[in-house]
Amino acid sequence: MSEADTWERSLEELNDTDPAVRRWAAEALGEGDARALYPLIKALKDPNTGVQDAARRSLIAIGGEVTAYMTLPLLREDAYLRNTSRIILKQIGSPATPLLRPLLKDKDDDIRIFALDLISEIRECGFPEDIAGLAARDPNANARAAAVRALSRLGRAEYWPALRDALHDEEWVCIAALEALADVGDHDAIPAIAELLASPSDMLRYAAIEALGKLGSASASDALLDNVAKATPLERAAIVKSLVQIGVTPEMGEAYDVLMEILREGDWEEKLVAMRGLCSLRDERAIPAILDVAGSLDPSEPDSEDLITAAMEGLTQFGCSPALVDAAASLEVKHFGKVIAIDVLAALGCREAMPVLVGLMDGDLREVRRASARALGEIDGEGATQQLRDAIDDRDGHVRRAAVMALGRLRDANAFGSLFEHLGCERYRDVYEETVKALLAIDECELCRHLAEMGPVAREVIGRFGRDETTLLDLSRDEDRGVRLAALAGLGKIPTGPAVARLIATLADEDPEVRRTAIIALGALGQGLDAVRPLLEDPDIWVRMSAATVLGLGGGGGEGGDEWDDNDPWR
Amino acid sequence: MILQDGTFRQLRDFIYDKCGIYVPDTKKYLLEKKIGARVQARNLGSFEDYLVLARSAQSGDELSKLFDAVTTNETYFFRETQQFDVLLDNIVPAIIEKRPAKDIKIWSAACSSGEEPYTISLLLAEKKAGLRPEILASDISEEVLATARKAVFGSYSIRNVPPACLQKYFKDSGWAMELIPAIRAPVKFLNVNLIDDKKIRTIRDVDVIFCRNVLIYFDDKAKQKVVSNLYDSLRPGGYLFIGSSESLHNVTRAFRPLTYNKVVVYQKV
Repeated sequence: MSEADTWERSLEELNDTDPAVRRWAAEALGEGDARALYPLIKALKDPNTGVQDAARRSLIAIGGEVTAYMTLPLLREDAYLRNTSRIILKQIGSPATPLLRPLLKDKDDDIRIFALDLISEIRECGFPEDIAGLAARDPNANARAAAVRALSRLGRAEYWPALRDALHDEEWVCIAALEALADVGDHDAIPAIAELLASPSDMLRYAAIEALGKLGSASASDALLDNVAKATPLERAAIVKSLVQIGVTPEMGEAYDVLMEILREGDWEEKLVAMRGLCSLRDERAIPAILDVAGSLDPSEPDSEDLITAAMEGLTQFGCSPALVDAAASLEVKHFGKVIAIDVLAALGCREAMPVLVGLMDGDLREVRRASARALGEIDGEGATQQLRDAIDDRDGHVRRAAVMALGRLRDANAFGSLFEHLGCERYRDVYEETVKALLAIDECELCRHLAEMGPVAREVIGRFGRDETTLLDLSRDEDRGVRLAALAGLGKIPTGPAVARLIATLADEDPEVRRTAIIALGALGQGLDAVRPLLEDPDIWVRMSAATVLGLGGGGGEGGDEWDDNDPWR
Repeated sequence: MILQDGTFRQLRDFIYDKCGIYVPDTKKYLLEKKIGARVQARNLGSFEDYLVLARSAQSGDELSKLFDAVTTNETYFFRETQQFDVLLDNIVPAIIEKRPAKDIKIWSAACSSGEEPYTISLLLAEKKAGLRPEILASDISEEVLATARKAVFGSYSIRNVPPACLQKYFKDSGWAMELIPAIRAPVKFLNVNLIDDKKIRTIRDVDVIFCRNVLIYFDDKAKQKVVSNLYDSLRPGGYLFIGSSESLHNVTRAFRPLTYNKVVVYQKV
């Protein structure tokens, strides 16, 4: 079927009685050109919302100035079409903005506001002076406020004085200006904003406090502190929050209660501020509450990560506090809250927590056992090695992994036998690999004596992380390709004559992956680079590329060199 | 090894083009950490080399591992149970009322390591309504699908499973819990990229889709594309569950939001 036939058929199908057919037609027209615009705009009014959706997506897909031009009249239609038009224009982005300029002079207040809102969302336009004019002179306060918002989103500092001027406008516009000035971070506006702390309007005073908090500077905090005495209770609470945002410890009597209230009742952004404030107060009463809030987060949610990190950073300020140690053991604290407490204790290297951590290794909760094992390794808790050795046989793979890693980090010679034995029964590859790494860290020579008894996975790990030259040279000739590659990569950490010679000899290997690995290893050592140069003509593209990279870096001390060090967790 | 800003942006754009997942600047460190592991695993010297490798990847293997690195795969059985209650108490009865054969097709669109589709299978078995369920389970990562097919779970995954169900439907294999074949049987796994129209066109006539905590990874444009693809896969009147913290506001009007016990379900109009 020709393109013209397909086009005609899609147009016909837009009138089909079956909504599914009409939807497919609307989808198909999205692959067309400007001729599809009118039918698609008509399809936005289809009785079936699935068809409307497809038409909207197709209009966005076609995009461009013509689509924007055809979509503009919908701004004057009903709420649905108006919103649809705004979504389309926003997604078309900068090609749409010149068409919005005439709308700024429209008699209809709403149209001017829609145009300004769209410019705010697109964050780009070539006529900021028009917007500044509206911010100063539009007869409608909502339009002036929208113009203020749009000006701030354009990020042009030469228009910030216009935002400051708007502080003298009526209340609604002034609030928009306060938010805008805080968003753009205009510190020159602080004196003018501080004057608003004496405004007769409750709303303006409150908005000024919030703006000063977001602006965050010494002059902003001074202005806030100067107003504490005459502030209402609600404003004092807002001042506490703003001071925390600025980074000033709020030393007012009610600060603790205010922040606890925000921690309990606020949204997540406010909870974050409250956590920071409570931690800066170093009032240990807050620890269980902070752990309770942070412990209620689901760590598998991507958005939780920042909050958990903030909680941990905040709790670190308490130092190795008995309250934090108690919280790790408390039955009242949620299990993920305990994990956070344990991780903080580990980061602090809190040896006082060791008895509690040892006790937690016997608990039922996997995450807690895992965190405790990790912490004992990090705290350098030699007194806990027996518990860690017991945990090698834990029913949970994550706990076994954490215990094995901790024993490796502690280089517990007494654990060598148990760890070696464990290789025979471990079923998870990652735990198995960590066990080999731990054995390497404890006694590499002893482990290498057992090389013949070990399978390819263990030999590969030894190849990658080992330091013994003789072993690595042997493994670079192993029958298993993965082991050979790992050992060649490992030789990249050993700047000896035999290692370099072996790597140079391997540059002639028939396997391109082997040649490539040898090149990277030589690059990491910064030796044998003359031997690498001929491989710029290698038949394999990856080998050529690696050679070019290594020669371009000049070898040694470059990115490749860093990589080898990063590979070793204990050295 | 450092992920330079320019390389980060190129990797981000590449990931976005391939699967619609948008990695914001604030998550650069995450990409550095996770892709760093891939760089090491492939014996590469830099992130730049990895980018070349990913772009030239002929098989889906490396891409699958890359997608795996940028998404969160940790999940568990009975996650957000209120939604499953609504499925069993409201949605399933409404569907089978008009379906004498009692067949029902449910799609877990981002199934990760299988906990969600197996939870559905388990709950439908518990309902004892003589249903004939077909449960499709898809994910962009072949690696997590391989884990899902094994149906072997650690204690984290099963922490919310009621003890009676644990005893009835899982076999203790010493190190972990293995789901019994009867619960595994109705679940079919597929490797699906939710922005890939062609692949999704093969999934049709679905009664209920679970696509929870997935839309958060996409920007507006990709969200609209994914939701449109899900819409096309549903039967008229079919239902869509998204994460309880997600919304279809400004994404689509093609679904009617219904509320049961404070749980929002979207129905194809």
